[in-house]
Parts: sequence; structure tokens; C-alpha cells
Amino acid sequence: MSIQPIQSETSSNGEQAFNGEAGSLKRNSQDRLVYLTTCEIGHPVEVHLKNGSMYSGIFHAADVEKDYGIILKMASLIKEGTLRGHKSRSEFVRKPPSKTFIIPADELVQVVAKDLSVSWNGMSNAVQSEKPGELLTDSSISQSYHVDRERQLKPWVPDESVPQRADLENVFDSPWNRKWNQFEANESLFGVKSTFDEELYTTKLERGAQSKELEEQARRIANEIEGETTRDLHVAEERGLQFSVKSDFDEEARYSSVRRVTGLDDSGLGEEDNELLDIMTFGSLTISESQELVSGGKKGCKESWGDIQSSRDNTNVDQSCSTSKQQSKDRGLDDSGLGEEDNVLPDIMTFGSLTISESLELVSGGKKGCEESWGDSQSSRDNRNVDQSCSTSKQQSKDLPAAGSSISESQLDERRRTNNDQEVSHNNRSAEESTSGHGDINESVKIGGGATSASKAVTERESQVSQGSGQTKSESSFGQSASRSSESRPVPSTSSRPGLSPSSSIGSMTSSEKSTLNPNAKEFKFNPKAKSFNPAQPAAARPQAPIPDDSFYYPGPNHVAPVQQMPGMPPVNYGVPPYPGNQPPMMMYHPQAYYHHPGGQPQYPQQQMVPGQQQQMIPGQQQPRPVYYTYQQPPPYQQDMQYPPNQGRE
Amino acid sequence: MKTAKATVAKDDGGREGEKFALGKVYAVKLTTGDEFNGIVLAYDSVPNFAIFDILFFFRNQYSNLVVFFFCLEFCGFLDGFSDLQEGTKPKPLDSKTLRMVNANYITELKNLGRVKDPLAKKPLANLDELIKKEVNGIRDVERIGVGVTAEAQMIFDAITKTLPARWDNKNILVMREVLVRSPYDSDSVFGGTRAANDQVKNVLKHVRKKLQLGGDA
Repeated sequence: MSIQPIQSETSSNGEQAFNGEAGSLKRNSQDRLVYLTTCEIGHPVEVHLKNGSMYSGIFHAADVEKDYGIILKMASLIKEGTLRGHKSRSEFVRKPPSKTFIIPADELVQVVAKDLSVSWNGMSNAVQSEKPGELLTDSSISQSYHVDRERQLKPWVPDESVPQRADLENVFDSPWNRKWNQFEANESLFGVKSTFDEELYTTKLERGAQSKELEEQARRIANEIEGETTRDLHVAEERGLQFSVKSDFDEEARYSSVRRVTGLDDSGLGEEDNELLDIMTFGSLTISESQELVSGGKKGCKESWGDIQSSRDNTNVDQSCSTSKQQSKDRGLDDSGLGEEDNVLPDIMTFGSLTISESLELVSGGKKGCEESWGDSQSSRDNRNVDQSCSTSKQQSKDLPAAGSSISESQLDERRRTNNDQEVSHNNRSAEESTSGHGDINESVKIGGGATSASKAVTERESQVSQGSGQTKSESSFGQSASRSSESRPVPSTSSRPGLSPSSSIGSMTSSEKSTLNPNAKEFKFNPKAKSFNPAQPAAARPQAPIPDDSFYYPGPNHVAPVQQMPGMPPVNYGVPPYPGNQPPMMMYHPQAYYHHPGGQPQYPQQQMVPGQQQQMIPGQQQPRPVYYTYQQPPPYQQDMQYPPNQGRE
Repeated sequence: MKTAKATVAKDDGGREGEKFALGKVYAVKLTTGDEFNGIVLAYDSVPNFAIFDILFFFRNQYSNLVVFFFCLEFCGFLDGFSDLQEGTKPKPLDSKTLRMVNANYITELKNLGRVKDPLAKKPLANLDELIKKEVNGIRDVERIGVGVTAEAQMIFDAITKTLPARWDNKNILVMREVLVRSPYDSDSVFGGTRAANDQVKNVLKHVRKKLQLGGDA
């Protein structure tokens, strides 16, 4: 706090003792005295006493009201008054300093404070300079002896002797302006013949009669593009545009390559991104990334939705988080919020086509409220929410949008997967798409949703995405949520994506290169002979064949999706399990997610082996979640892949 | 003036204000034999304390002043002030040497003239920062071992860069549990948990190596 000298609150000081007849000048001087005394606080001083002794200590207080007795802290005798000879300080064996040392005024002759800072503006410069500890640099710390840390910098001047090379002066000019031709020089100096052809690296320019027009046109287009406003922070920076939105981006936001998904979404994928941002918990996953993938570059964000959606799911991959929080499999595990969902998502990640239901589940996992709504519709949600960062299991309901574009999605997903970054955002999108709106949740969830549902799901998802914050509405819309909570996971992967063509997902899944794969997860070895386990529907077992729609889409607890889920689908650790092979689509992932729910899913009695699988899931293991959702993995599979039920969730 | 202490250099109270008017430059002599030149920065007649901004003139820096360097006469005291490298003119605001003098003990005041009051504006003092400063100062003082060798002090300083340590008489107490006794090598590390002990040993070894003290077991 800044104080006026006159009100200085030196510890011992109360008020200024005003002399009755003090003129203003006198008062001023008195104030000064108090002020300067205050400035001395904390300063090492030397005190001379009447008897000649000298003490050194830290000035603590002075009695300015009375006679100016002072108090020192850590005072030590430097010089005995009685000794008349001079003893240098170093010779003097000091006793441990007194913690507090009081000197009455009549003993006090003078107090000497050296290098005291008396500042004008209330900021005590002395304080800063007295805190060398805070300003130590590494080099100063590591040096055992005092070195000069800085040297006087002088501007560089070129040597006089170096001849100016005129031909290098214009090195930054356009190539045709330069007088220096490196190729020629090399050839003459070293006999090296260059085979450089500019047109190998760039578009061949048609120079001819119309070159001028073409140039004009090109320039126009270029200007048009460059002049475009963009929401992307980085592009804006490059173009020199003042970013319209808030300017409170710190350096990291502006220049780091780490994309952070925030609700505010300033990274500019656009609105949709924001929604996906919920997913943000992914360290690197950025919705934008997914978005990008999805949109194929911002502009087309929406279009690519279909595709993106699927990919989104992948993003949920809890890549960053080894703990597949996402394992939203346990929808029921709501406590972690998105965690569950995310978990689901990650697993799904590889499955672009995670059924919407899955996603939904994921989403619902996290979103308490959402569960209901999600129910099944969102299965595709792909709960990518993969809370990769584990922090916020944003409902990455990436749900691989069950949308009809599932195929494309799966493609996308695969792509996404590789990116791993497919964050949530995509999922959300996908969710939306897949879910095709909340209204049609069940559809989407059911895998049967088809594209439309996917789209809805997407929208749902979007809302879901924001779920992180509790998009209850979206969730609610999706019946999934319910399923999720319940344990949506159990839903065999198949359930995912009602509409998504499992095949697509399958194909795409292969890519699964999740960056955030769980390093500990065992690689999933696809066992072609494995029969999918389907307690109630033995026929459900499917070979690697394209996953029937219904099988993928596992809507959620409420939804009795065709349990084609791959029993074997190892609990999907969203994002964590390495994608052992291009196992079929993610769609299954979601179902897997459901698997995670250890609780088993009563709702799906037969559907998926879930119930059976549930038991199998061993929460603690990080099994790679092969994306064999399409398969009804037979029980053996189960053993293989322990379903780390909550791995994603961790 | 109320205060009419019978002191050596006290004139009648009424003139105190003038005597110690702000901006006056004096060559001051004290009963302790100390002498200095300074500019009056503050004064209060009640406690009869004045604050001087110290200057040592080595040669005439003021065109209209002739200042003599009295301090040479008091070598004895100068040793103590050897680091009092006060400059030839008033130091800038951020690095003053101030003397708060009990005017009762001023034996002689020699008027050297007058300068413009250096603290014309009313400055502010930030008490919080001052308190912080004090805490830091105390901390720094505590770091100095009493009666320890220079080598020990160097070791202490180095250890304290990374580990919390304090002096315990002549021993170094690290992390409140591990004691390092003289001669402060790896053999002299006692106490603490196994891990802490090992850590301290390790740090000590590195410190010694870096300080090239050798003799480390």
C-alpha cells in the first residue's frame, strides 16, 4: 500500500508529532523526516552510538512520535565503543546477531543507510533491487564465482577491410532482379551443371499473349484471399488482420502449435468448433483439428460434417490421456463427467464410425443430464469427449456420426485417427451428424439413423459438445445418455452408428494411428476365428465383414441395438488402445464403450455381449482396443482384451 | 521550541528550523568524531533528528563551494566506512546514502551553502514493499553463519540455492532434518531420512566439486 509520508506507519510510529508552532515548512520537514525514516525500513544500516559502538542491522522501526529511538533487527556489534583502535569488520568475530535490538534515542548518534532508494512514485525501487533472489538467472546461480553477467553491447559495424560485395546486397530482391546467379557461379567455379527447373516446383506460368490478364486475375484472387477476414487467429495474424474477438490471447494462444480447445474457441474453426470445444480436454486434440479435417479446411466445415463426424470420434481418443477417461464406457460413471464418455470416445476414435449411440453414450457419460436424452440417439456421439486431457471429458460425443456418411466418416475417421487430434470437436460434429439431431436420436443411435440422424446427431453432438458444460439438452435428447450412464459401453461396438456403414468405419479404422494411444496397451491381434460373443444372438457374430448397421450402433442403455457389437471389442479405451489393426470401424467402438461399464448393461441383455463382456472387462487393463467391433468377438477375445473399463476414464 | 536540550550544538530552539532548513549543506561533526558533509533532507526539532543526504566532496564540485575533505582525519572511523563510497554530488534518488543524525550530538556545523531541496515533491513510500524488503534482508542476514569459515559459508550459500538450509551454530541444517557438520564433506552428513540424507550428500558432493574444494569423501 502506498502511504503518504505523513501517515507513515512505521511500526513504532503513530502519528507525526506536530509541533504546535510548526510552520508549514517545518511541518514539511518533519514529514520528510518521517518519510525518510520509513524508507529506511528493511534497509541494512549502521548505527553509531554515543559510546562509539557501531551496530549493523536491519532497520525495523523508529519511534517518530517521541524521541526517535530505533529498533534494529538482526543487529550485531561491529565495533566496540570502548576499543579505540580500528578493527575492521572482518576481524571482528561476530556473535550471532540479535534478533531485535532496541536503541534508545539518547544513545543514538546517527544511523547511516547506504544506497537507499528514495522513490517518487510510491514504488520502492529498493525493494526490487534488494531481492536478488528473485532475479537470479541460471547462469548466475550455477556460477560459483561472481562473473560479469552482462557486457556492454556495441552495435556491430562491418569490418572496414571486408570489401562490399555489391552483388550480395540485393539478395532479398526478387530473383530476376538479383545480379547474382548462384547457378552460374557454381557452374563456373565447380563445373556443376544445374538441373534446376523452376517449373518443377511451381505452376508453370503461361507467359504469352494473355499473361497480363492472367496475372491480373491471379493478383486479384490473391488479394481477395488475403483480404478475407478470417476467424482463425493464426491466419489473421499472418495477414495482419486485427483479430476482432477479444485480444486477450497470450503468446501461447497465438503462436503455440498446441491447439487448445476452449469453449471460446478462438482458434477459429468457426462456430462449430466452439461446440466441439467441449471436447477440449484433449491436449492436442483440437476441435479445430477435427474440424479441419471435417471441414476440409474451415470453409467447408459443415460439409465435411458427415465425414468429420466419424473422424471426430476418433478424436475422442483419449490419446493424451493414457487413462482413457473417455472410457465413458461407463456411462454410469458419471462422476467424472465426461470422463466416461470420453473413454468411450477414445476407443471409438479409431472408429470413425462409432455409432452415434456410442458417442451419445459417451456424451451422456459425462453429462449427467444428457444421458437421458442421448439415450440412443447419440450413440454416435462417439463420446469422443474423450477426455483426453482427462480433465474434461467433454463429451466428445464425437460420435461417429452415424450419419449416413458413415462410410465417409469412417474414412474420415481413419484419417482422423491418424491425426489423433481428432478431437472431440469432430466427434461432436460427428455426433451431430450421426446423431442427426437430437430429435432423431434413437435413430442415430440405433445405427439405423443413417445420415440424417447423423446430422442430427451432430447437432446434438454439438450441443453435446458443449456438454462439457452440461449440455443437458443434447444429452437429454439423446436417449443415449441414459444408456451411457448405465453402461452404455456394453453396447457392443456394433451398435454404433445406426446409419453409419460399418464397413466404412472399418475400412477407415485401420489407420488408427492414435497419437495418444496407450503405450501400455497390448496390441490387439485380430483373431479371425474369433467368434463374436453374443449371448443372446449367436447369429450376431460377424466376421470381419462390414458391420451391419445395427450392429454398430449401440444406442445406449435404452436402446437395444443390434448387438452386433463386437463382443470382442475390447473395452474401448478411447484413444488409448492402439488400433491394432484396422479393425472394423469404430462403430464398434462405442459399443465397446459400453462395455466398459463394468456394470454390464442390463438393458441389452442380449445385445451385446456386453453383459458377458462386462464381466470380462477388466478395468485395470489397458488393452488395446482393437476395433473389432464389427466382430462379435467371442469370449476369448474378451480375455484378450481386457476391457479396461475405465481406462479411458482415468 | 519546546525541546531545549542542553546539547552541544543546539542553538536556540527558534532557529532550529532555519538551521536545518531543507537543502542546506553542512559539514557536520559529531561527538563520536565522525564527520561528513551532507544536505539536509529532513529535520524535526522535537526529537531533534536530522537526515542528511551524504556527500563527500573530493574536490570542489560545486562552483560556489569549497569543501574540504575532513574524513581523512578520521581514518579510524573511515575503515568502518570504507565502503562508503559516497560520490561527489548528491546521488540520484535511487541510491542515496542517508544519515539520520541525532542533532544533540552534533558538535559542529559548518555551513557549506545551500542547494535546491532534492526532495521537492512529496514522495510516497510503499509500506508493503518495505516490509517485504525487511523480510528479505533478515533472510539474507540469517544466511550468514557466525564464526564459520569462509569455505563453510560458501558451501552454505551453494547448498541453499537448491535446498532449504539454515545455520545451526556452526552446522548446516538442511531441510530441517539433515545436519552437516564441519568439515562439511560427505562424511559429515548426519540425520534425516535415508533419502534426504542421500540427497544432501549428493548435493554436497556436487557443491564441493564445483567449488573445487576437494577433500570430499
